[in-house]
Amino acid sequence: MNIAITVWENRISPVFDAAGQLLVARIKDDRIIHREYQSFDPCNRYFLENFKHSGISVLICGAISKASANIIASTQIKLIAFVTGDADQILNLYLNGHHIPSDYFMPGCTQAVTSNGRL
Amino acid sequence: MHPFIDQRGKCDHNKMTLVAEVSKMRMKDGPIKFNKDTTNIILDSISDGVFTVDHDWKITYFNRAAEKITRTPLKEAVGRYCWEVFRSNMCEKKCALKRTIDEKKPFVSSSAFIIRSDQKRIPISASTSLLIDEKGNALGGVEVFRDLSMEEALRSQITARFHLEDMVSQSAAMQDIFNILPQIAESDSTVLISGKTGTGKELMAKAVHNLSHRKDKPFIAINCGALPDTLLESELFGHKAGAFTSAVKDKPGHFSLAEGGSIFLDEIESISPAFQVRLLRVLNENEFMPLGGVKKEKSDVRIIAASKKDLNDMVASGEFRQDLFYRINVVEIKLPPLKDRIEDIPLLVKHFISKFNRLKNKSIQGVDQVVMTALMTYDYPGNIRELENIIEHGFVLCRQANIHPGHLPPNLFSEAAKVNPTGKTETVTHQNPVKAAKIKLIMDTLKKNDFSRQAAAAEMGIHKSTLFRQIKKLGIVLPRK
Repeated sequence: MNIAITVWENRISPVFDAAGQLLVARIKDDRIIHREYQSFDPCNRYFLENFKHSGISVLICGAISKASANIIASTQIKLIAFVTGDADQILNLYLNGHHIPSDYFMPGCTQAVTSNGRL
Repeated sequence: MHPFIDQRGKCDHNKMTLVAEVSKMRMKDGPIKFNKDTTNIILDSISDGVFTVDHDWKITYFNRAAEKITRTPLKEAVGRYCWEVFRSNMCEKKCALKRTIDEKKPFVSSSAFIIRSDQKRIPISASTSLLIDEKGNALGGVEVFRDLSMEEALRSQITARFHLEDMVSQSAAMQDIFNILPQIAESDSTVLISGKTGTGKELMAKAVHNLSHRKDKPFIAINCGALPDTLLESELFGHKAGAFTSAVKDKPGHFSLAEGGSIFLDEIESISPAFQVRLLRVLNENEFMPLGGVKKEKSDVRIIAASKKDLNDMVASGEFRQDLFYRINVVEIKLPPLKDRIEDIPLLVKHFISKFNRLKNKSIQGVDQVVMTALMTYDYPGNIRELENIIEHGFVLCRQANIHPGHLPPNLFSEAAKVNPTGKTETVTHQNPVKAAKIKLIMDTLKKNDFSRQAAAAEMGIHKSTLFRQIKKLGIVLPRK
C-alpha cells in the first residue's frame, strides 16, 4: 500500500488545491519501507494519472475543494482531508490505527472524512 | 459591498449610528481612545473578515465576519495556526501576512481563494498590515479579507452574455445574432450562414443545431466544395449495391445518417448547376433517391447551408440557381469578418489562451501589450481561424507567463506595417504599435460612419473635440468631403 500526503515543509499542506509537494510512503506490514518526495501540481489535470502510476491508495491532505475531491472520489483512492499537523506524526498515527483522531482535523472540520471525497 | 448596506441593498442603521457616535466623539475629544469593547463592536460590525496573529502565527483575534466567511467559530479559531483556519491558496507560497511581517509593510492580494469546511472555494481579496502596540512594538500581523463570491457571480453572468455555445463575442453585430439565434434555432427553418472563411460558420451551424429540438439527434457536416458531383451525391444520399463498380454493398448517405437531426452543407456555392437541381428537388420534396436505388426515401433533416461568397451576386451572374437560393435562404445569418469586430479580439485571445492551456496543459496568462496591439491592428484575411492559429503558434514557442512578439509569426508584424491611412510612408514597427492601433481604430470608426466625426466620436464614447485633437496629434489626413 502507498500513502500520499501533500506536505509543506514537515507539515501537511494547508490547501490541497495549492500544494506543491507530495510525500509518498510505501507501507508493508504497517511499516514504512520507503519514502520519497515528489513535486506536485494539482492544477495539472494529469495528477490523477501520476497517483495511479505511483500506486497510491490513501491520500491525506489539508483543505480540499469539492472539485478536487470529486476527481479523487472517481478513483479507488481513500481520501482523508482537512487534516493538519506534522506529516510524520499523522503518518504514524494512521499506520497505528488506520484512522486519524479528531484533534488533527482543521478547526471547524471535526467530522470524519470519508473515502468518497465528501465530508 | 458597502459596510452599511446589506445584501438586499438596505441600509444598516445600527452600524451607521455607531459610526456617527464615534465620529462625534472624535470631533469633541480629538483622537479617539478606544477601549477593547468599542473596538470589538466596530470590528464585529463590518462585513470584511479580520483576524490577527502573533509572532508564532497563531490567531489572537477573529471577528464575526471572519467566522461567517470561513465558517469557523471564534472559539475554534483563536489559538490555532492561521493557515489551519484561513486555508487560503496563498498560505503556503505567497503568504501576504508573512511578507508584511518580514518587510514591515502592507500588501494587498486581489485574486486569492480560501476553502471553507464545506469544501466550497470562496474567492477573496485580502490586505495585510503590521499589528503595532501604543509603544510601536510589533505584536504580529492583521489580515483583512473580503468575500468576493457575489462579484464573481456577477462577472460570470456578464461573461456568459458574451458566450453562446462555443462562440465568443461582445460586438454589437454578433450580440444581435446571439439574441435572435434561439428563435432561429427553434423555428426549424432552413438557415443560410454567410461569411468569409474562418468567421465561424460551422460553429454557428452547430449552435443552431444544439439550440434546436433536434439537439439529441445527429449533426453532420459536409464540405460541398471538397467533392465532385457524383461523390457528393453518393455521400449525401447513399448508394445501393451495384450502383457503380466498387459499390459492393448498400451504404447509407448523410441524409439517412442525420435522420431527425441537421445537415450542414458548407461551401454550398461550389456545387455544380446540375447538382443544384438535384438538391433543390430533395429540399422541396423532403425525400431522396440513393444512387442506384429505385425507391425514394423520406427525409426529416434540417438543412443548414453556408457560403463564403455572396449568393445574391452569384444568382445575379447566373452561377447559382435562384430557386435553390430562395429555398435555402429562409433565414440568413451574416457573420462579420474579424476586422469589423476588433472589440472581440481581446475576448477571443483570452478564449483561445484558456482553450490551449486546457488542451496543451500549460498555464500561459496572456499576451503582452506589444502583441495585443499587433493583434488589434492586423487585418485577419483568415479571420478567427487565423487568430486561433496565431495564438497556437505562440503556445508552441512560449515558455513564459505571457506571449511576447518573438513567439508569434513574423508576418503578423510586417502586415501591421500596412496600416497607413495617410498614404505616406510611415511604418508601424514595434516602436509605435500603440499609435498604429489608435490610427486604425479611428480610421475604421470614421469609415464605418461615412467619415462623420460626430458619429465616430459618439461610437468611440469620446467627445467630438477629443477626436479632433487625436486626429491632429496622430497626423491623420481625412478625405475631403
